[in-house]
Amino acid sequence: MVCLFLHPSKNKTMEGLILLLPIVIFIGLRFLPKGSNDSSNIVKLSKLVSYLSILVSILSALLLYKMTAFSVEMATFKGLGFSLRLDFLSILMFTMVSIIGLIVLRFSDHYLDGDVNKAGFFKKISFTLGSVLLMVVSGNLLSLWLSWVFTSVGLNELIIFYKNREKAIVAAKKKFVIARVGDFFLALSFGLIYATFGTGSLQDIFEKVSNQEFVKTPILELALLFLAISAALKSVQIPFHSWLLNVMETPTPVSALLHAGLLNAGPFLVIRFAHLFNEVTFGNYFLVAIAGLTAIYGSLVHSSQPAVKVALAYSSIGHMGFSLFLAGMGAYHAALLHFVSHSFYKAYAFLTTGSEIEKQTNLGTSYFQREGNIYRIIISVVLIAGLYTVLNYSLKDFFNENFQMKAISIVIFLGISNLMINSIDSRNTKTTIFLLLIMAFMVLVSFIVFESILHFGLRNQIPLLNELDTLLKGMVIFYVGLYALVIFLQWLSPYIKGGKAYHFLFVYARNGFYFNIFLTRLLQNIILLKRPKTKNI
Amino acid sequence: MENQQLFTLIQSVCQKIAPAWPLRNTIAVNPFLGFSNTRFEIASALLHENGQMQTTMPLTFYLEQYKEGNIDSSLLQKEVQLMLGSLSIQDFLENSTKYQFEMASELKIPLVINVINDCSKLNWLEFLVDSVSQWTALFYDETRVFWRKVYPNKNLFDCWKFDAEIDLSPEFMGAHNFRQILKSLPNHEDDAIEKILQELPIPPEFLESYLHGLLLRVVGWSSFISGIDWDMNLYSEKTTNLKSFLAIQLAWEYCFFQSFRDLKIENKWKASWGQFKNRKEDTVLLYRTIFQNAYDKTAQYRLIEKIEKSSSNAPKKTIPLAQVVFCIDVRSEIYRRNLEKVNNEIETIGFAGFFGFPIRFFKPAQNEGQNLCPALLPSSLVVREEGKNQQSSLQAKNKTIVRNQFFKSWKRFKSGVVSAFSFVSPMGIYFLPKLVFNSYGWTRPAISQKSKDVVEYKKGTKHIDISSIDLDTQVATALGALKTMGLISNFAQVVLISGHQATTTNNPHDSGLDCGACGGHSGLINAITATKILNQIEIRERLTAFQIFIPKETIFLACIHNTTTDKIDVMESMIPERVDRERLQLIYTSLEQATALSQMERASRLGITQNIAKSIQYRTIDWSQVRPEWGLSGCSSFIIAPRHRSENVDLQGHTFLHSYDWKKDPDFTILETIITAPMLVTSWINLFYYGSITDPEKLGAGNKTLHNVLGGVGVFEGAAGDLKMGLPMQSVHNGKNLEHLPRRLTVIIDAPIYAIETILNNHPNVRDLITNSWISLYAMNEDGKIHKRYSENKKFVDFKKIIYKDL
Repeated sequence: MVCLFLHPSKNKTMEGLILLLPIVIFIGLRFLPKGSNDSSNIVKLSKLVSYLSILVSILSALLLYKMTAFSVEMATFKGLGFSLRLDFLSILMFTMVSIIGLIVLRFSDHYLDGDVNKAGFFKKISFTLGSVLLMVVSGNLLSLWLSWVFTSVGLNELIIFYKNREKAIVAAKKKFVIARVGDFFLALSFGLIYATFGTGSLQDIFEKVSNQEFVKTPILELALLFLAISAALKSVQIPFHSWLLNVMETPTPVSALLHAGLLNAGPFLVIRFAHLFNEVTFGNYFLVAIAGLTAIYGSLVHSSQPAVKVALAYSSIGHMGFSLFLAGMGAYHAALLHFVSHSFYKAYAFLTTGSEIEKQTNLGTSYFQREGNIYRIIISVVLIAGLYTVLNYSLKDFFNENFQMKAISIVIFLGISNLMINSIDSRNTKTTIFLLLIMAFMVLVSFIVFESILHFGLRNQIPLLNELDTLLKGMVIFYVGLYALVIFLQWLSPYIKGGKAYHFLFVYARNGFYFNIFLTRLLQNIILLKRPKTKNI
Repeated sequence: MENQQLFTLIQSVCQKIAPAWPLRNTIAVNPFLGFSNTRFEIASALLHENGQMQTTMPLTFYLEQYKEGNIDSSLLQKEVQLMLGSLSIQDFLENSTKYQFEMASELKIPLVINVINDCSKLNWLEFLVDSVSQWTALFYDETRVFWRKVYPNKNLFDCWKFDAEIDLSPEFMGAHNFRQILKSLPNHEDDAIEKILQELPIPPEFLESYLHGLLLRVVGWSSFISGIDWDMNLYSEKTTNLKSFLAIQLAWEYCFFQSFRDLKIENKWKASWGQFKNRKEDTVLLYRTIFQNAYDKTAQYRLIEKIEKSSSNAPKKTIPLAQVVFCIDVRSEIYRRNLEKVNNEIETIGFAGFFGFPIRFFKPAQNEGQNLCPALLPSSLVVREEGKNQQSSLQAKNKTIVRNQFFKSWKRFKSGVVSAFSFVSPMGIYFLPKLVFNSYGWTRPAISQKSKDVVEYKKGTKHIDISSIDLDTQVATALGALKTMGLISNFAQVVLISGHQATTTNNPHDSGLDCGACGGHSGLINAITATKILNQIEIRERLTAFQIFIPKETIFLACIHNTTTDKIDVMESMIPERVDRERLQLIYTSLEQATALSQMERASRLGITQNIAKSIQYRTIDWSQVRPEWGLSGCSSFIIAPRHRSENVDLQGHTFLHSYDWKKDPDFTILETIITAPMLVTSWINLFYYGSITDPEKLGAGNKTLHNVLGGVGVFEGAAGDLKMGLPMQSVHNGKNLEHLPRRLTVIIDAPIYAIETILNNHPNVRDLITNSWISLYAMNEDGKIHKRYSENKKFVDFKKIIYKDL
């Protein structure tokens, strides 16, 4: 069941040009001639452009409010060429990237003071920002593909910002290989989609899908499977994630931008092609299978890392997994909420890693301790189960709308149960427990509110939640069960004495289950990673 | 080798590693501490051979300095003659130009891992360092990782072996049977060390260097562990964690050696030893040392010239409007000079910033106190933070408990497995306003406890409770403090005691800018404790027995010098009613004027041209600021003399100043204290900065923009690698030029030479630092002239000065 109300207006050239302005300047900055070492002008200019792009996103949001969705076509041929697509998804992304861009540029200004290549840094980061902005508003397959490639080209340049750092170069090479494979799959996928629909315009494709004016062929299955692979490669799904851990060889703002603005490309792409994913099966299987596993992997390894940036990287891997997992099961609005939220959270987390020591000092070094009191654990479980039942009953529409919402809300409640148990089954004072319970409630309310907002925003633009087939349903149930098991073990953590299995798991987890070593060796043996002549210890 | 002998050797190797402290309380430490009794050039060569560590700058640097006239040619000539004999200075310069792009020799002590690295496609060295580093980081992690660590006991080696026996990474990298070989090693570290050293073919004459090389391979962690041992030995039992760490390194070597047997590495290793045995003296290294000596001397003679020119002989006799006691920190010099400039009736005094009160400080609801004293001595006086009354103390305590519990539980939810998903989806959006607020400096990512303390103590909502120090101890400490700072008569009505602290945001190296004498913390608590004790009538009465008569109207007032803004906050709540308000107002005005002048002076160094006060203020809350202030950059000399000797000299914030008048010190016990404690500390700081420049990667903390904070410990540069100690590049370099120049400390003491000589003879460990060229010591005579230099022959000798025209 597909429901789609698009009001395309193809003659909005003026609006299109305004929207393009920040993108063009951002990308253009990269190609300014290498001037003097004085970076102040380029810094000022790039900041100015990011203010402009925020302004533009506000304008577009207003425009969108009036006309739901529209696309602008300029110089196009057979749906390829230059066209922009403005809908809830692209404007939300555009706004988010613009804001994060501004924060990152402002941060980089003082952070890179004194660096001889500061101007170069701003050029590269502007280029990358421009590419991401272009990607999110692209209205056809060609420009989407090009901007997709641009983002990783820009990122590659940023990774090797310090050219004398061997590790940075290794990271860039790993990233390069994976990005090119991803580009290749995306090109294949787009080629097949083009062949199926005979047009490159997203607007036309989506219209055709919603009017069922196309023939379902295995080719489309293949196309979407490739699309899913490409998304998985871009969004660091296992086993293609380990390059992300090496991207700390470049200034912190790059990490912030990467984790908040570039990794999202995977879930974004899936949501962008939601209409098509709705028509196929294997792409969704692939996504749910790989992303569900990545989610638990990233989350688990994250908790065993002592270095803050490495831990954050694993956390991103997990969150991207979770977002793709949601997208794979067709809960697009939930996937969108998750990665948009994650972007702000992760940008903040990266930019404030310097405060880690201060935070630790403020809180003291002693570990948090669970009491391990079985009655308290039972009280917490009863409490959370009761809350779940009450809310399910009173907000029937929200929680019981369909299978996906049920699955998501179970995961959310499982997480909140962790908070409850940690607060109740511990040495916390009554005041603390009270405050934490209020916070738990706040989390729930926020979840319901934001989920509903995005649901409403996307209601006309992506297909409604579909009934899943049995296999997909089974996969989702399997993963939710796995998450429940992990939460359950955390409930009982005071009783886990730390036997052999625990010890093995801990040692393997801190090594990220050895994926990085495998990739290093694999690439070392094939190509590229020629070891530079041994420098001294 | 005999057992006993072997472990003595290991002990001496471990002593070569200087301690380092976690970033929570950074203390600047001499990274060459283990080489105090070794000559500078020999230590340079050893550190270079064993760890490829640089203790001097590249030749290009010196050639440039020579061109700019910062190395005097006649002094250089003398150094060349001393070290190379007949070589003419022209030839020397020519050779230097020829060698300048050559690295010092790469010949180093052959470790198994390097041999394997040379015959493999993979980067084994990097793998090894990362593995060691990751494991140790997790072992010492105190806050980040929630997994319970289940270890058989507390011994470092045992814990490591426990984990390494199931870790698959070496085998996945291609080291066959690694775990099996490891399991074949004895469980006890001493037995393991013996077995390993029996089986590895290391030439006995190089054993010491080999073991040293193993520790230097991960010098960051070695130093950190050495710091743990240091603190443990100071406060409780003797520990030998560094020995266990060395055993771990040996075990890695052994397992690799056995694992790669089939690669014929044994022969290659033996060949490397042969090569190493036949190595030649390193010319480049020698040249650099010669340059460094001449470079230091040139600066010393110029400084001496500058001081002699303007030193005055006449101390002021009248009672000043106020006396202000500052820390000896070089940043105080700027402020003191400006304060004296705006009001010459204010006398300033320089003294170690803990003011002689070695405190252990407890905040409410805190079980582990902070040690607010230099790393050289244990804290002994327990003080506590209290509220206005019992009720508010209790409230504050409960509030802290709730806050800590709340955030710890919340953090577990936020970063728990799976529960992180329920955190991010609903709560992530709230980080948008946080991003914006922090970006514009409206909020900070974390509360600055130090700044909050200043406000609260100033308002009087918090107090320091000194009741657990008994009266005798109070009197004894007060007496020692007053005597050492030379404040035993001539008291002004107001005596300000000014601790110092920095305010920075989002800066992992923040504590490095605080007071080193207070153990890398703010000096506020020490200042408050000092004033509280000195203001007690009982104490003053008992001090009269020691001929110290503090007038009734004299009050001691605590204040805090914020080194980032150069503002001074007086703890006004502690001012009693009887104080003359007009006088106080006068002092406040002078302080404000001095702040403005100091800010102006520092602005140019910070590259600020307009809106000086505002720009400097913004640095304290700018989350992206990597150079909030220059810290102690530039520190290169230490003057131990009455203030009037240096009063009229602009020392540009490069000099530590300790007030000392030998005429008030008949038996020279005070001088002994100064030479054995503050002088050592200044040398520690100086060499800490020095090392961070000569070897930014191994002795410095590398590039700040890449820093990756570890739970409670320190930083990595990038994703992994060794733990970084020392200072980040941004703290000593402004992007174009060095802000701190590589100069070893010059000490000038105004005291009779026989007194200094006797003290040094009684303290050979301090004397070694001077005779081995880690410190240069000069004596000032009664006319304020500096004619004598302490020589290698353990005596003061006359030295010939070259008169500079272009000063």
